[in-house]
Amino acid sequence: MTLPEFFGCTFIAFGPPFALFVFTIANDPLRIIILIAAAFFWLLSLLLSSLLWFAMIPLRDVLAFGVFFSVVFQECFRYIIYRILRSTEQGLQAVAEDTRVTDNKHILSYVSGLGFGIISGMFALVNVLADMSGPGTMGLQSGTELFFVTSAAQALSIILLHTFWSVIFFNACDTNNYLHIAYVVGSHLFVSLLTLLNASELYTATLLTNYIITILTGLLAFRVAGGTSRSFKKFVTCQ
Amino acid sequence: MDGHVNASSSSRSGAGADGSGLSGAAERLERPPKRTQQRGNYGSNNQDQTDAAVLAVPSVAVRGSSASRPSRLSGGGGGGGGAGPPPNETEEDQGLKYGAQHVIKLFVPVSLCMLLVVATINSISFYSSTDVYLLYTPFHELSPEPSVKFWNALANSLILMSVVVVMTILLIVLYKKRCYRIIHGWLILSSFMLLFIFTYLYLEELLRAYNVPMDYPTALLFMWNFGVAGMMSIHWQGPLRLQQGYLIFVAALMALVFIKYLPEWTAWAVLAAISIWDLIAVLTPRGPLRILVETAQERNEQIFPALIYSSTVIYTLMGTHYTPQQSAEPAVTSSPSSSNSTTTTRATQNSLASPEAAVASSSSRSGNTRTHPHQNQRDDSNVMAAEAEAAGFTQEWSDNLNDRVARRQIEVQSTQSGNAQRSNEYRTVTAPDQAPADAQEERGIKLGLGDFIFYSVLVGKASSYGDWTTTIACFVAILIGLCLTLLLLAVWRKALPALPISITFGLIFCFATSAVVKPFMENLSAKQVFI
Amino acid sequence: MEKRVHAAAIWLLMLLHGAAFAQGERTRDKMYQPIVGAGCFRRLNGTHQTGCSSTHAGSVGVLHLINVEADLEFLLASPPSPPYAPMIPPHLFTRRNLLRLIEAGPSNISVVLLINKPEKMKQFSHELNCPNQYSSLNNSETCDASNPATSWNPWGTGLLHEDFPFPIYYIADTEEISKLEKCFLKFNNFNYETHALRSLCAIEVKSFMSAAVSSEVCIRRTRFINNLSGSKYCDPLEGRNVYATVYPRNVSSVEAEETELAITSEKFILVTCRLDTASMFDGVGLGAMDSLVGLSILTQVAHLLRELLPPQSSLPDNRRNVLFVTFNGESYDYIGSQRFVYDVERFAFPKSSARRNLITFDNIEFMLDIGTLDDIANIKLHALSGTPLAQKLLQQLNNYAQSPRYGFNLNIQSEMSYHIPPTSAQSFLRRDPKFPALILNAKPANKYYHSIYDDADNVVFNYGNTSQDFTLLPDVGDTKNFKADSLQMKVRNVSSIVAMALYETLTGKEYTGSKVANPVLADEFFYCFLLSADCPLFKAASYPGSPKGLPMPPMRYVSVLGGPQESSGWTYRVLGYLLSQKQPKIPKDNCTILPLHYFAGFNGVGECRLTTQNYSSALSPAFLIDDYDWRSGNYSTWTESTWSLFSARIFLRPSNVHQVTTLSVGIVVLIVSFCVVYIISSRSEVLFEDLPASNAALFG
Repeated sequence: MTLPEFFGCTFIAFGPPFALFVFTIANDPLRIIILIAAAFFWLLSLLLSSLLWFAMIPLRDVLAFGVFFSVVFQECFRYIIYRILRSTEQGLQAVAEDTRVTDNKHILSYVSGLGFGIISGMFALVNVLADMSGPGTMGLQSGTELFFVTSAAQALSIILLHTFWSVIFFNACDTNNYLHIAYVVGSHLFVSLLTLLNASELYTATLLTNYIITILTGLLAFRVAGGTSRSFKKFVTCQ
Repeated sequence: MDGHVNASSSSRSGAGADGSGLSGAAERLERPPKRTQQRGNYGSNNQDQTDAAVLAVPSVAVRGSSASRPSRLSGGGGGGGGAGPPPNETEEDQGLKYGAQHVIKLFVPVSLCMLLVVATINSISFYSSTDVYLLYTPFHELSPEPSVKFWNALANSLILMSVVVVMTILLIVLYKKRCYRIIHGWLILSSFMLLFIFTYLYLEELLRAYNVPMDYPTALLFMWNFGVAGMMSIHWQGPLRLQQGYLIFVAALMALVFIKYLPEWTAWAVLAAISIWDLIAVLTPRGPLRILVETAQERNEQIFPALIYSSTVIYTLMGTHYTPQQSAEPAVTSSPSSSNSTTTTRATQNSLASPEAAVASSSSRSGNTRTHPHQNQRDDSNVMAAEAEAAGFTQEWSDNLNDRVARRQIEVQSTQSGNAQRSNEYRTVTAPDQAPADAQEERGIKLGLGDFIFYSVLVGKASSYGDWTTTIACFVAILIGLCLTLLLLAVWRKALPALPISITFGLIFCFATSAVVKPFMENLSAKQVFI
Repeated sequence: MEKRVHAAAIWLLMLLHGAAFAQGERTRDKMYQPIVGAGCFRRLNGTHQTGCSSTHAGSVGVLHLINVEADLEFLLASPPSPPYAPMIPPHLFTRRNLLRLIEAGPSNISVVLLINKPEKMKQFSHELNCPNQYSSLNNSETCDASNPATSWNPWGTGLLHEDFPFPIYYIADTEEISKLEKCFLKFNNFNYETHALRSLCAIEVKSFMSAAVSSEVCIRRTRFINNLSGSKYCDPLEGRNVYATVYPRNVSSVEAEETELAITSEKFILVTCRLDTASMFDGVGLGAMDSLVGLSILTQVAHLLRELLPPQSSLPDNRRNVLFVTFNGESYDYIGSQRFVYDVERFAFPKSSARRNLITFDNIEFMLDIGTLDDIANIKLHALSGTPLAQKLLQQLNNYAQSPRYGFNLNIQSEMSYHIPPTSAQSFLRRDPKFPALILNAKPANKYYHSIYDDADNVVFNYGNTSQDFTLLPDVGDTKNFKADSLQMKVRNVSSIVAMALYETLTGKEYTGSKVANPVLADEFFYCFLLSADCPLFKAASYPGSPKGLPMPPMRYVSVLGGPQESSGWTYRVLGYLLSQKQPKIPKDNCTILPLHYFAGFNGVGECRLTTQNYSSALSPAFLIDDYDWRSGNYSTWTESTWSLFSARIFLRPSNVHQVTTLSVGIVVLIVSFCVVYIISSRSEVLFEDLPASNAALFG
């Protein structure tokens, strides 16, 4: 039984998001609801892109096509969530038990981004994880042993990226910063299309690039959310 | 006092005769004092008081502001509408706010129940294979032809639904004739069956699935303790957590029974049919569940056959937060509906939450003159209760708390049942309880166990195909549906069926995911493409 | 609701249609490759369990091909990455090797694969030296396991009665074997020292058996009142005996009143044989030599007697009749014959629903049991003592066997002693040693007794496919182009001899005709039972237009209640067809109530016939008797464990190093992320200082 592999990969992919959930989401009912709502909207976007992929019978084997439209739909739904959250902001303000949710706009974007990320990571990985719990590993006919670990790492980067993207995206919409919007859509497209290379087992290339992009996006999100190098220094030096 | 109540009740029936305008006006009249009271509570930053105050609101805000509601709904529900909340609706904001908390309080048990079912389905193969069938599903879908299966499923679900309808009517008749002993006996028997026989079956299959040998003395000792503790906590008294745990377990068990014994297509058809039946039974003026609610209201009794999960949490705080409510009482008693709801709850521990006013207005709308004498009767008892309260009953009230909780539990939860035909009585979401004085005890949001069961059936059935994305999609869809239902509940403030929205979402996402999304995602994850 | 269901149906239809061309590939399809084969399963008797079972989750072992015995040494001397799954060809599948593998323990050897490479195989019988030893006559002379000369299965290893701690999986298909070998060569067959450090090709076999310990225990568990789900742990071996008479018996005059069924005054000659066979693996095993030859002779005799005998009324004693019985479950302590004896003793044969008068032991004139005829040229007539009856029959048999007129050129010897072969007659003799039982049996020559290799090759059967009418009796000189030493001709000869002897016994006159049994019938019979159930004989014996048999031989293992019971079903039809009288005057529409039955006939046009065949239950009396003492050994107590599935799949088993690395990386990531998130969320106001104080709470 390779339960160790199963738990290892689960922890790699969902450990950080779980920690985020426990410490930042679970305390506030409203955040949980927004998280689930965001997940629901991601599902809707996936459903639409799957329908498109399903309908385009000749293009089914061209995954790049499906990926492209899936990214487009996801970003559209990210915008829809943005509209909805912003339009109900006042309502939420009245509703929120914890006023910070509405006082700090980034919290909403962070929560919805995490919802996007978690559901996306789950959909990508959950069946692979389920298959992992059997006695075998990849590599009998094709693939390598690294398949599972790389999948998990890739999923983690996507989850984090979604969170960052939402923070950047929501803020960019608020401030009409089209450059940031373009960055979000562009980097999402780039990352997703890059993972097409995984099929030919170019794991170093894809993973490295993805994590570089993740870190860059994280930095950008950090800046957007109000962090500066000064504050980071203060943070690190425990002042 | 007597005269006052009589007058108020007559004015109320008059309003019913004239139409809704008068009663609406009368209800609006009572708003200001309540509002202030509620504001005060809110300002005190005490959550429980807030809850209590908010709970008081629904009884007055049934139809008064219905015109502005849709926009509120769309705004709060994330439906895409843009309008902010109208200024005069702040009390509903509180309802929502406190809804958010309660939504989570329902999410957790619903998720636990579904988790239990999904885990069972995936680990115990006994529950995912159908080889024995219920009596109610004479067509076994053995033909490979989809059309035949379709008709089988349709016929099965029709039979099952008609059984449900017949049993409901039987129950109503029994209830109307006050055959409580029969009903109680029936309910206790069925809960006994679930807690002992079905649990034993579950234990047996669980042990078999993991190939664990267990000797009979241990198993019987365990069963005895488990079953007796369950019967006690469900029918009599026990720690709330324990009771909730048992209710979740019982619901999961029932769901597993459905998954096990219903043929595949029939299960889907039944899910669809039951949610439509739910809609009819709860919402139509002469729907069976509504009749039950009304009858119970008339009799000042527990709404009988509802086995409901209550998220009621805080017992210990009741006594302490009681006083402000008490002080508010004299001011409120001048208004008929609130005094009604107060004392009704006080006297009968009415926990099924269809708001007094909603019932009253609906009955008056339908021109139900029967309400009148009952109204009097009820008001009489109200008066007595109110007098008792005025005489400083607080201490005794809190002393008696446990007893009354127990009684409520007997009356409410004894309705659990092991058989399919009674499942219809399990659902009905109830609004945050309307009873102001009893709010601390009763304010928990309530969800019929039937909803738990059918949510779990849906998710469990979805997971039995071995695809986890489908399961997750169903899960999310059901939670969102529940969320929307609760939102509507906060907006409409009357008992709502919890199945239709969730089950619709769940069915759509289940089939869409397994048909369309699954191949797409499998293609992606096989090639390690992430989107 | 309809609308909703309709929508659901449409979605499902879409799913079905989409599935044809849009089915994604699950990761596990890439990881695993199924291996088709047959599993060994568990049987239990009153005291023991035999056979094999995997662990509950499935046994996993690293593939290791055994070509020579020395290869086993690698596995037995602390292998580097246990547990292993040796792939053993049949010639190395010996008692000695298997016992060594058992000794190595399940931590070293978790699965054993038997691969179908019979080139070097000389013998393969895993039955005991003395089959059914404990339900036979309790006499050391009957069978002596230690003395091959007097044992009835000198090649037997007795592995069929061992309990293995690992599953044994038989892989017959050469393609599957090559899959396994390829995987073994690619991943395992080099650098044995580094096995522990790399992923190895492994197999998982799932064949978990739910019964354990003994029949007594598992029957008790199955019957226990608290067994709510009605789950079965084991089922008694159970089948159906098929019997038929050469002359139709009168319908009992008493109208189906169970208690008042009269005991008949008829006299029966009992001709019996056994119907079933056994093997170690589920669904494999034809028992060609060990029981099918006997069955074919019985049917031939039945058919020949039916055609030759004059009407019953013209017999010297018109109460005489011949009762043919094929006993089922004889491989497992004579289930069928024990039950038959039990029923006859208790005035319960035939069962009341047959509406025929009861048969008792007094009605049985004598019994002629056709045993295993391994070597048809070397048949002996066995009996406990040399009674005049035995002498007379022997003389009659030899009369025809040696008669130059027919040219059978056989010499039937006799052995009148306690050295009685393990056949159905043992059950009768056990009840009463004086019972007039005569047994036709050959010297044991079957090296594949009760094994998967007792097949058409073992009996050298070549299908003649003559397409001739097998129901007509040919003249003795007409060999239908079969060689004299072919199986068909041997069966023809023996069955003609037996039938003629019985003819003489019944009529009191010597048979002087020239008609003998039809070798084409034997040809078709063996084709049906050894190669394909979709065959002319089965077709002729079925209702016209009824579904064809499967293009594979029928299963001949006794199985359990609800089992396929193919072999008894076909035997019932074939005996019914061959032992019936044509009723040309009765139209098809009136030919519906037994004993009238409508057969397709040789040419398939359909004919109404008056039949005599019927079933009787072959369930051991041990399961009927309340408080039966399971250890008494009086009756067969064999049960078969239930199981949910047999499956095997190969895959790469990751090395421990790989697993531990993955797990530790995961745990480190989890812990680090918890710490980091906790620190960030607790000091978020510092990190996001740019925001107003009230807003500085990104992380709760």
